Amino acid sequence: MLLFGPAARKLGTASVDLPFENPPTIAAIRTTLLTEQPAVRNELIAGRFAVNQRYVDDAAIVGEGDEIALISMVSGG
Amino acid sequence: MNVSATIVDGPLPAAAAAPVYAEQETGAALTFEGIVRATEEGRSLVALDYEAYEGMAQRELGDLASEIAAKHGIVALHIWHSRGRVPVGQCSLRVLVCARHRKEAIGAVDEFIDRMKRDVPIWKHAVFATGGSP
Repeated sequence: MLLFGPAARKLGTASVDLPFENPPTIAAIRTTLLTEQPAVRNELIAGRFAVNQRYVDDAAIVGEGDEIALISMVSGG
Repeated sequence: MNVSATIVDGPLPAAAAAPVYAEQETGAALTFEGIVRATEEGRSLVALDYEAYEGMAQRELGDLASEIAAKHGIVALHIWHSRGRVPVGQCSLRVLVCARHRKEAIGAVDEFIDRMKRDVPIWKHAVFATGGSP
């Protein structure tokens, strides 16, 4: 999963692996990461997810090979 | 309706001093420029580093520009946004809107910037004079 902005800086990386055996929902990814990556708790709670560069809601199911990104606290301009 | 969105590496070059408005319906033209301030939260700033989600940022800017242009009945809406380092005093965002009348031009710029700051995957990181970032 791709990380940007504050989330990437807090974790010191631009991506993290998602350890799921079955295709997860975005809600499942969010819940799992809240436990595994507490340093980005605020970003996970307030942020949105994109799959293949489109915003999705928590019910979306992620398939193999999909590009997943955590989009949190954007600050353009 | 003429719409474009462009992401530019580094500071945006100066706008043309006397642009030519090709769209004959234009009765009001407004250019907004976002400039990197010298201070952030009381600390001296050297620059802002802009990070964009490659691909998605460009598409979201373009989709948003099209939506805002249609909603406000805009003749033309052109967006430029920086990526990478932009020193203090230089331009990182330019919005050029052409409309039939003043009110829809002002409304379109205002709504575009509000929505951009909420939806477009671009982040800025402050580069302080004393080094480091918050």
